[in-house]
Amino acid sequence: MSISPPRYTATSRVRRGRPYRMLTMFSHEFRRRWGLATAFILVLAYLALIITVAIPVLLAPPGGASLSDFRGLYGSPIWPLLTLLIAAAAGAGSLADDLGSRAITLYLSRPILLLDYLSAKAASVALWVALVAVGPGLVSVLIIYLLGAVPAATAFAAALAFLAVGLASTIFFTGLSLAFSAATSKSLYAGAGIFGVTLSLTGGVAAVTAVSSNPTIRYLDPLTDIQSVAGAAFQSGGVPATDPSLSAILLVAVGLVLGVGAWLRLERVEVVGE
Amino acid sequence: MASVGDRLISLESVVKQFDQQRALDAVTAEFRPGTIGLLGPNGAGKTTLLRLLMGLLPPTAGRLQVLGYDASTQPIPIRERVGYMPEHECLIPEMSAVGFVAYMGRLSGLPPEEALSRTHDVLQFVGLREERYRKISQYSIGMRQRVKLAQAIVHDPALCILDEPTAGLDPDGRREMLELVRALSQIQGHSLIVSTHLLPDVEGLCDQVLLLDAGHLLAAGPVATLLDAGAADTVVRIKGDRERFLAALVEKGFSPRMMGEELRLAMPSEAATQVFEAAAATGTQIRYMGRQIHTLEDLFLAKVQAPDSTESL
Repeated sequence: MSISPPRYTATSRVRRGRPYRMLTMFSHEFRRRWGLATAFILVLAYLALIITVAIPVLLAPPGGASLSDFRGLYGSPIWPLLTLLIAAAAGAGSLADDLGSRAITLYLSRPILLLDYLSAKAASVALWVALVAVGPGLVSVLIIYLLGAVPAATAFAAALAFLAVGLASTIFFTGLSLAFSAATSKSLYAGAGIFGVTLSLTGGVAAVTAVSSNPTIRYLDPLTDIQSVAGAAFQSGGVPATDPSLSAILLVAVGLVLGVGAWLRLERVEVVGE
Repeated sequence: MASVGDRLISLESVVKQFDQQRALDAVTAEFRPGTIGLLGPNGAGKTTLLRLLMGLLPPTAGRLQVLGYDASTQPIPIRERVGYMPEHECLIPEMSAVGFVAYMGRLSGLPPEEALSRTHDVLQFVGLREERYRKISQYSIGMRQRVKLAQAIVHDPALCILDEPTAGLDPDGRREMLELVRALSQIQGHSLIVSTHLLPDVEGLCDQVLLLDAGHLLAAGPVATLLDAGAADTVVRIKGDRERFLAALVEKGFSPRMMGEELRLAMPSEAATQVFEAAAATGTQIRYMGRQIHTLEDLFLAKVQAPDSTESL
């Protein structure tokens, strides 16, 4: 009997390009975050938030439900809590895990640009956040419309409003998650940072506004900004705490700046060696 | 696609400066396809050179070509054709070896079915056929090293860069890894760069070497040529008064050098009689005298002691 060393066959020279590689990273990252925690948050979000949206609309007098009745989602403390939870559960580890395991070395030694890597990770985190920030609102509108509680025009306007507020929130929380995830190699610290910064800003701004008459300080609270944008999008009337347009711009701009911050941080990571 | 021809890698006056520190200083060398040892102590500039070769860093000055592509302007085509096995831990622990290696194959652009079929092939090649569905977190250090090797070759690269492939392995694991690396080169026909500070690892493996120390090129070229170039030394081991014997040799016109317990002399073989005369005159016993068997370690030590004599062959 002869013993020969193992061999392997040569590959074909077919290689797929950048979009395929980015899609591969995106789908891997999205599936990687699917677990008990994210599944639990999703189920809770859809149950709690649909009820929060549906009850005021369904309890309105027949034919009397308006766009502003849909705003209940953003008035509820459940929504920011669940959005923060999903941002931490799906976003905190997105970059931190690769930094911790140093798998980022292997990613960037492949034919992948840093921008491709970060974009794929950001898309995955954004989809997870959007599943809570946008999804329940849209599903609620669909259910309410199918139940015949609102006319098509109101349902369409409500869907657009949920989309606008949800997307602004998604961009902000995605940027926040990426920035904290890039700053550490421990996802636990990143998650704590995401929670800590958001809740500190909310609590801090509330404390400062109680003793200060300067309204500008309210722009520092992302949850107040989201409330203002939601108030305008759902035409709920009343005097918003901040200018809704400025708050929307601020949410999107801060989210993007935080994303750029994550990119700058990753650029400084040693890819090969110690 | 660029033509590789006879040149696998070409370095032209490559300089890399980090703030105040010059990591590489005017390194010029050329290598043909084969197995190249990138050697030097920690801080020699090996890692910087690897980063430059993969286009992860731009050189401060000079030009690098890998497989016919310019590393500064064409990093993606290079990384499509290069496989990299890092020294440090870099695997995703919650994945199985099959899932991880196939994922890395897809990131190199292999279609999903081909990535999976190649994964099974290369995991068998590295000896992980039976354990390939287990989570990487359950693997030993040796098995992890094999997964790192598998992911480096899954996309069938023209050039594999192996950074300290035997790091952390026990003697058996080290021998097996070196056999795998040899098989990659000799059976599968890959060109390799093996970066290591363990000179014996590469001695039987590499046909070309690049010796670096503190960013300076000490020597570069075919191993056989470099070792032959300094093979004129004679090794002498003695018992007796070393100082008197050395003085007697100097009197006879030799320039003896002590290397540990051994004495080294650059001399023609017919001068041996004079050495014996010096020994007799000083009452010294010669225990051994013979031509020095050169190793890369000897070459490295000689070059470190005489850094001006840079060789590029």
